[in-house]
Amino acid sequence: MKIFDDKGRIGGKLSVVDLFVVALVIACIAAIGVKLGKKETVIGGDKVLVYNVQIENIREMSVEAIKKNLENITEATTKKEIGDIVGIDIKPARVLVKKSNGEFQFVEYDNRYDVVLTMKSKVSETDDAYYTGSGKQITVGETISINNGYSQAFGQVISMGIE
Amino acid sequence: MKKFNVIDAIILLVIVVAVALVGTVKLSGVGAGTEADTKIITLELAEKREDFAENVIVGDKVSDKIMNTVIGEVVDVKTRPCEKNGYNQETGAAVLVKVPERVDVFVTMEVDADAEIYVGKSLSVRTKHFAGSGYVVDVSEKDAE
Repeated sequence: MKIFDDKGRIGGKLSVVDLFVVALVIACIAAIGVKLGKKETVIGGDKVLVYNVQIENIREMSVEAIKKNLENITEATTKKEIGDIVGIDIKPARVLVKKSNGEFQFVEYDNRYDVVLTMKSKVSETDDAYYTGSGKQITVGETISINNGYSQAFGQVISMGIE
Repeated sequence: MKKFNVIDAIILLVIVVAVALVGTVKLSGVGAGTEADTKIITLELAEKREDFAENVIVGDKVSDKIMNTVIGEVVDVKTRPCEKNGYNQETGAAVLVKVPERVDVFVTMEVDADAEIYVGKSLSVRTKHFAGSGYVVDVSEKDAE
């Protein structure tokens, strides 16, 4: 059985030129689709962001409440889970005070604490941001409110990096 | 019904190539802006931790945190020790004092020339790697850089 007839058409209907045009159209559409897709699609979604959140000048009872649960931490405003606490660094609270000669100096309080929580969150990475599953953007300098079921506290992201 | 012939194919091919060309130009950003379309601004983020500037990365897109719209791109970053005006109660003199462990961070950005950003304007920004609020301390034409 012949594939091409005397006029070079397949089954007497489609010519080689027709096939070429159809293939070109499909290739062009696919190329544009891939290019547009790269702009819009979230890259990943399974990345792990490790970041430090500093909570300043809190009392011992708040520190103890934070230590009670380190998993499935929620973001207090959205009440959606943002990740786990994987490390706690507790130090005496340091507060900047002004001396009588006008100079600034850090002083430490014995009964107040600065706590740095190391947190891990699964994030989606776009060209412009890292988002937790709750839609919260994590970036250095941003204030984040966390709730572990026993304590709710506000802290500032002071460093971060992809694991 | 009229059959699809070679002439039809050529016309279709020309249309497809034209569409592909326009799409490529649009997506690649060719002709999307000229130097005259942008201006340079500097935002002061005062009293930051000493390692804060490590998160200000040249090339990062900058969004207005309030409006949640992209306003420009980071083109430079500088820091200097944080200093504040103070008052010496012992001598009665005004003094300029350093704030320990803190720096002022100056983020230079390229923004749209039509953006309503002036020296003294308060601006809250966010990029992929940092967020902060401060005052605009310099606005200049791109050519003057």
